[in-house]
Amino acid sequence: MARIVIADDSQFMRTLLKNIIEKAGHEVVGEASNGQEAVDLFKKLNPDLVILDIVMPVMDGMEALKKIIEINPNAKVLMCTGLGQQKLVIQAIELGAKGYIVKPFQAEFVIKEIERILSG
Amino acid sequence: MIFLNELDKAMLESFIEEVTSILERISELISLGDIGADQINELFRLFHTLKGLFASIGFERTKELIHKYEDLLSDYRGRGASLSDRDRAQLSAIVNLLEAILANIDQGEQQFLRDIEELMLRFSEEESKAGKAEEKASPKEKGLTRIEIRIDPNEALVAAKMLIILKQLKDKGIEYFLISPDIKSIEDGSVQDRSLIVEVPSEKAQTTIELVKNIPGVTSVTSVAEHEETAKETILTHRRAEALPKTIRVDSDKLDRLLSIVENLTVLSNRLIAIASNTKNDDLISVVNLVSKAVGELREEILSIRLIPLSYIFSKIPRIAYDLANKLGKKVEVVIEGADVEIDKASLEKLNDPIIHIVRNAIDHGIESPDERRAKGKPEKGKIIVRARRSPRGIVIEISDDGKGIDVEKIKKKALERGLITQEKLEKMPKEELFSFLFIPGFSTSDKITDVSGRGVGLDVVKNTIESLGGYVELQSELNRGTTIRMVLPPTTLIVRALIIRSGNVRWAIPVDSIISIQEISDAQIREIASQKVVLYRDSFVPLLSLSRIFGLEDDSENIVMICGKEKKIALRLAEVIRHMDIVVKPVPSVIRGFRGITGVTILEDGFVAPVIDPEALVRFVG
Repeated sequence: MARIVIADDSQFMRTLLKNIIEKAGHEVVGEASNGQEAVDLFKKLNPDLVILDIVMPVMDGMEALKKIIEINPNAKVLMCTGLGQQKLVIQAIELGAKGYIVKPFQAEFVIKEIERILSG
Repeated sequence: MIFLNELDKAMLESFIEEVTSILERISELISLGDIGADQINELFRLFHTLKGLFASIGFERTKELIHKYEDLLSDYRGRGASLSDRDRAQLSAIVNLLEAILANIDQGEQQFLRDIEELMLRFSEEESKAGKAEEKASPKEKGLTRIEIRIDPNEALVAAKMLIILKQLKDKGIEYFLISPDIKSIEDGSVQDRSLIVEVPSEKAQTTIELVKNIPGVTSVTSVAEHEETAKETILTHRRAEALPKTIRVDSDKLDRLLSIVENLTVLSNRLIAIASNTKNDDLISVVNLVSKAVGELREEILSIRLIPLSYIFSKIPRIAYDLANKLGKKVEVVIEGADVEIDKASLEKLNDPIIHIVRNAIDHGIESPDERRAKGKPEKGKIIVRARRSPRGIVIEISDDGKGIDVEKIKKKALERGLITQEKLEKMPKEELFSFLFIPGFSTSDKITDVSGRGVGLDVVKNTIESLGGYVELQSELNRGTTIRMVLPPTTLIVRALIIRSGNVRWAIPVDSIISIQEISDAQIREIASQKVVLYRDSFVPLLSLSRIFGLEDDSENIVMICGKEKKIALRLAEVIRHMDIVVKPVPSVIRGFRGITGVTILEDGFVAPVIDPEALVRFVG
């Protein structure tokens, strides 16, 4: 069982994601509604995995990713993206994101990707 | 050496065309069965050409591979033996690889380096077997396994997925070679392919497969080690298929036949118009007009197929210029303008040598050494301008240099020595005409002219070539300022809107582009200046000429005058204006070649031939 922080400005999306994660037997230890909160939670909770939405207010996912990688270069970050954001995703991967999941979520894929990153 | 990014499209196309035809010939030879001494001789020659072609575009490793095989063929030539099965297989493999490289030519040879190395390795195996390289241990098994990874068709972000896969391999310390697609298309997200092909060390193949299988969005991971040849062929076919639809090659004779059929059609449709307009049947006239328009469009299309941009020649000029300048210890700068001007393929081929020749001459004899230029207060770097443009006269190609120019006094001296002219006539001769001596065969090649003023070696050849294309050459030169050679070719668009006129019982066609106005004049308006008849046109005197008189026919001119010309105007006196029509301009028959005023001939609807006149060229007849 892994400890996971999720960051998304939509309460609905967070709940959806949380359900998927918990069904797979992992624990969501923190929820953030923007990038800044996500970075703070990462520092405070030192989770096994952070899932970051790319588009968020205050501080977006890309910025949060940079901060998190600065704090811990080996941090496991999964980006969460809509369609048509391939360029941003590629950038995120180059910045150190370990993977990505695409909205709308397909539970099976999300879990597979999480497992892959956790085991890597 | 030209590198690929400097090659423009036309060059590249011609490169591809040439290599393709060589590869086709090689394939033909392979398919013919036993490859004996004769075939080996031909193969040797073909490989030699291929080597040069790939070297010229900077494909070093490809060139070396071809070179290796050329060496092998050379051995065979010495022994007079037939090609062994093994070397035949190698030949096929090389042809396959070259076809694949050709199909992806714009991506460079990088992505094929592995394939090239592999084929190179087969040579060294052969060598060690033959005992040529005894010491060399048997070539180390490279042990690479090719793995194909297919991405889920539902995966939205293919490029990101591929990047994740590659990153995963890297993170796990698996060294990989990316075979396809190229990394650039992944990084910029433009990749279209859903298949990722990598090569990994064979001992890591299983780990790789397990690892990649676990990445969501990957549908299959297959090792193609056991079927390497098949896999490679699949890739090659795949690449070849991509390049297929762009062009088809057509025998240019076929195009010529098409063109001549369409030219006949044009003449016939002109006759049809003449007949139809006599019937006063509006329906018939309108249909005939539509037919004529369609014929015109058809002809334009066929002509455009035959057109090739001058860049095909122009693009190699800088390289030739710099090479030569280097050799001569000179400095030059080359400016190219109008490389996109298109010209008929046949003309283009003939123009190549004259243009290159003039450029070489300009550097060899025109441009001074840096010291000399400095002493003259010129920039050290000489300047060569090669410029093409379309004008109503046709296509104008100019090659200018800012070198030492041509010394008119030397020409005079030479002309007198050779007894080509009397002192008296020489004094009266305008400068422009003096230059025409340079076009006399053998005149310019004589020592002094070439040494001192340079220009001239082979200018007669240039002149003949251009005239055979229905054009003419002009030369301007200013001592110490430079020289310009201008080649004017008749328009490649062989159909021209022209006015048919009569003068001296001959009908002439004058392109409407060059006609300014037609007016009647009274005798009082005609003046004589320096024994040249002139008419007043808009505040200036324009020389008055008669076609019939110029060409020695009976002069039946009325007081109808046509003002024509762009830069230089002339007034043509004529007997009758007949009518406008689209004419097909055909090359000047050799009997009347040499009259610069005639750019071609056309066949009128009644079957008679009318010369096509370039009014501006007639200005020369004015003393």
